[in-house]
Amino acid sequence: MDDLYREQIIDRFKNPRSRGMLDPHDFTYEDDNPLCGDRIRIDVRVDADNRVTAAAFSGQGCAIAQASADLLTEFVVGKTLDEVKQISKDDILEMLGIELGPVRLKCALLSLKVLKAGVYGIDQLEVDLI
Amino acid sequence: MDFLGGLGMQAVHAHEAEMTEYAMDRLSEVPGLRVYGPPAAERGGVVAFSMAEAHPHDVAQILDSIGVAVRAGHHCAMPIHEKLGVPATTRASFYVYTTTAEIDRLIDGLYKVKHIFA
Repeated sequence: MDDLYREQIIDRFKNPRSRGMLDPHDFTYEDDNPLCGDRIRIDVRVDADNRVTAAAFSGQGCAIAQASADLLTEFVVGKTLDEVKQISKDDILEMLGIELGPVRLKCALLSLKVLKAGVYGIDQLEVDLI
Repeated sequence: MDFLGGLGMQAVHAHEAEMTEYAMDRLSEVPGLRVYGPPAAERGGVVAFSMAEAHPHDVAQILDSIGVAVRAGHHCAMPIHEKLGVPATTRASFYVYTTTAEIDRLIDGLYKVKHIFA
């Protein structure tokens, strides 16, 4: 189980690469795991082709949740929103490089849930405009 | 009930109080660790705490890795956690079968947390 706290995860937790808020941003979303107290907000900027130009996360949570958010916000830069929608649970686990039990899986996947809610929100807006 | 009756509820209480006091003494030795709630004599066999270095879930996970089972989260008491300004706490609990050696193991685990998150 010590694998959970591999160097990469502790390093990302202590020295996150993309922690912060983006002002302005094209969309933002925030959510939490109410039972464990993890809370993540993700801000995203996209260009005219709906390609992510910048992403940042903020909030609080355990090392797994924070490392996952940091890896994910770095991973999505350069991807289109359609590509972001295709990101799966397995992609997150591959980035983290660890296997997780059901309880900690919720920590690892919170940032993906937040990001996708944000992405689908912006799509909804476009649908409304058409 | 037969089991507990055989032990005697006063003995059950006495052991639980003794373990709780021992745990709180040992926890007070760990730098940067904060225990929530009243002194040992005024509580049951549970001690919720947090560490400066690591989130309560990470603490619980590392303790689990050395065979120490604790609970982490809100413990069905979210309002008090909000009032205390902490996202969650880690909580150790003691009962008739708890030994001081197990509490020592808990303390060893907390130093392991400090080592990993140092």
